Amino acid sequence: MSELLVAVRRRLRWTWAAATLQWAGPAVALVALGLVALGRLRPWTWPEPGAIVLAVAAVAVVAAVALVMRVPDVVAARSADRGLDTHDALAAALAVGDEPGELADRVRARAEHVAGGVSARHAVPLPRAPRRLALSSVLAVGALGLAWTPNPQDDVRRERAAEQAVLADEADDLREAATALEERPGAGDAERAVAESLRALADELDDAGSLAEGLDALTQARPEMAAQVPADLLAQKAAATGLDRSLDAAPLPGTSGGTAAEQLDELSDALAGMTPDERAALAERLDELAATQALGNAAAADALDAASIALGSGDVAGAEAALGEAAAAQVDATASAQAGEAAVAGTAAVDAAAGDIRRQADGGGDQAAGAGQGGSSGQGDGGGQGDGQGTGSGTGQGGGGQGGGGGSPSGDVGAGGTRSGTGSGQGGQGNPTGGSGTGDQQAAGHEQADREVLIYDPSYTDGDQLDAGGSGSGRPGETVGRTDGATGSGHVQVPLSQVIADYQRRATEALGRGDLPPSSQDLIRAYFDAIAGFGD
Amino acid sequence: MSTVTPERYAETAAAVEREIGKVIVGQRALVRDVLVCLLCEGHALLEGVPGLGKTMLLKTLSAAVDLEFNRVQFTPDLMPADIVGTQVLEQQPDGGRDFRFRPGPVFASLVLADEVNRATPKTQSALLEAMQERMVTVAGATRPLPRPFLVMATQNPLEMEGTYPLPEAQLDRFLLKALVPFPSAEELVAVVGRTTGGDATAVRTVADATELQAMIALTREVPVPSHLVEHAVDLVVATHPDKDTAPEEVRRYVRFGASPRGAQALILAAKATALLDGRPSVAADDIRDVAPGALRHRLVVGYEAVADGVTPDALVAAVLDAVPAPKVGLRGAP
Repeated sequence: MSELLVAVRRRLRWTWAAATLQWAGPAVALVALGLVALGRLRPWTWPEPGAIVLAVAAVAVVAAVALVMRVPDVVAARSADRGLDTHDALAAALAVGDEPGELADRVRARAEHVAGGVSARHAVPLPRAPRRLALSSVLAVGALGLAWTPNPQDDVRRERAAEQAVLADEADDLREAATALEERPGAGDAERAVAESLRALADELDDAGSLAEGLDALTQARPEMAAQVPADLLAQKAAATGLDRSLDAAPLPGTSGGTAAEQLDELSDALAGMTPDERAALAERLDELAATQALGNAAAADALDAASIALGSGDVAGAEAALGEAAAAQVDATASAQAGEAAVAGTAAVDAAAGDIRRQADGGGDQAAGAGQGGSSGQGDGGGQGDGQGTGSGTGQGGGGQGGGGGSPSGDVGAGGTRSGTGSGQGGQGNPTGGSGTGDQQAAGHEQADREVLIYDPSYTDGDQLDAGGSGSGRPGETVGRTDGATGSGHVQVPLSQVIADYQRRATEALGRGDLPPSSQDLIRAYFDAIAGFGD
Repeated sequence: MSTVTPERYAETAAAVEREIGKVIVGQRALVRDVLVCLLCEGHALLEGVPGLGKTMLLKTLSAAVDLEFNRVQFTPDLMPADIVGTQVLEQQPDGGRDFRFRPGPVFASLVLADEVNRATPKTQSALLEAMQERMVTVAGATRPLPRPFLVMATQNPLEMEGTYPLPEAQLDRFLLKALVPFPSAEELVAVVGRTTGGDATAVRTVADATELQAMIALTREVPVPSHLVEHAVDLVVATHPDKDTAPEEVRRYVRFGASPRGAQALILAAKATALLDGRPSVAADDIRDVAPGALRHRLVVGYEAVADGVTPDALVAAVLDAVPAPKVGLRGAP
């Protein structure tokens, strides 16, 4: 009997599972059908997988419970009694247990007799609920059939999946940009802060539910990041780098080389040992250096100028103090330029991501067509026509009154689209684009922008404000960008092919005059060699 | 006391039924109920019109089991002493006089109390007290009744004029109440044939008091699984109109449900039924089979039942429907 009870216990677990599944089958199948139907009404991705998970989970849970459920002997005995119609012989035997007595022996003997040669399968037949089974089958077949037929929501889902992929790609790009920033040589707190912002933005893109949300996040983040870019970043950078290079090429007397700041510091200690002639020569050199810093690093220029005057007047102590200030100003300018560059890189990464997302939102670059029409207006006269550039930060360097300048106007100027407008500035004929940058402009005309290599126009030397706005989404009349940034030399782009010849001519003339250091001459030659192919 | 095996128990009971069957035509259920009451040492209340062989049944039973049989016709003027016996003054051989107890008809193993509802409550009480205590006290002396002891009381359901219906407390003393149906035409033909002929059928004695006592003892030893005891209790509980498990019919027509004696009767009668069926243990069906006989006289029905023609048997059937045979309680189990 004990063997039968063991087998019946095991059998009862599975009959319980079968009965439970039959009992719950219609409900599970109905919910699954509902989920599949829901998947045809809404573009959600979870209904169909949810239906499968529901069905599998129902079976798994029931099977798991069946495996761990405890079936007492008395339950097995009573089940077998009912299944075998033994008039409770097995249950009575369990009740008698090991009691002595003839009647108890008869009860046990009868139970053994009843259990002999009987299988658990016979004692506990598999339960069948034909109606529930039929209902479950009908509902399940309905769900499968519905899932098998083409779903109009699949296209929407594919689009959303593509959007999520784009967002994920852009998030990865932002993280890569962040890593690249942190790994820059000499990267400091500024780079780390920008990198952190980019990673946070990447996380927002990961969480974004649509391209619009991702784009919104980028659009909201961009101004804060762009605000960290100094208006005169390029001037700062040109001044600081130029001073470093200049002193690297021709170190100050009495110094052992190094960065400009180090040489200026070292020079202040060496002044006392100089002869009057040496001080006079040094005063002249410092005056020249001050002139180079006037545009990008006014503090250094003033300090160098003060040092030059002090040296000229024999005020060594004053010169020493002024040189110390100049060194400090050089350090500050270098750091500011570095932070600005980090911000520019971050902004560029954000702009690149936004541009990609916009293109995807417009159906991708394949569908880009048409050219936007934009306009720019500024103070002064002049008309210009140019092509917008979709992404990137505008950096330009043009020849200004001081021989250097730069601009990095920011604004919502989009990619592509032929822009026309009125530029400002003296001699303001040109093709103002409103500066480089990224904006909300659509990708229309992007291919055209890719083909056209632009270069900043150094002839546009006025530093007045330029308010350039434009539209260029391919939908005429739609205003998509505006630039309110400071303008100056290098803020206007022109096609390279239009100006390359003039630039080369001017460069040749400058080189011919011989007033440039040899290292600068080599740099200029290398530069024009490098861009020669883009002007074709 | 000698012992008896379950097989011998079943054989003897079958032999008794066979011997009764030689005289009594049909009425197998009635015979089984009376036999169950005898083996449980309970008492049977029979309800049926006169002339259906109730007296002959008990007389034949007494012959088959070799037990003394007395019959008492209950009438309104029947006194308790007429049942239990009385002290009589007798002349002794030495010339003196002394009281001697003259046992009443209750001093027999098998007593037929015919039309018990015709006697006064006082007389009924005398009999019912003897049934319960299995002893009588007369003139301060307590005298045990012979064992086994079975009282089979009858009631005529038709002539209710001038009767004293047994109160509920007295009805509860009967283990089973059996209904004596009118025989079918074929059975009636056989009855007429047997009772109008010249030769009386000879009944063979197949058991005696000693063996019956052993069978009674064995009956009480039959094991009952706990879930079946719970089932008997559930059935009794469902006869109470204020219980949740009571069916609608019970709530509507029953004033008071069965007493705990009802559950005892169910289990005891089921034990005897199991042994009579050759099984050493009780099954759920045994309990459900004896439920009508054990419960029908224990339900106190209201006037609504009488007005609507609802019988106690219908109410017991409703209870059986409302309380099905115990299931395992595990989904998928048989």
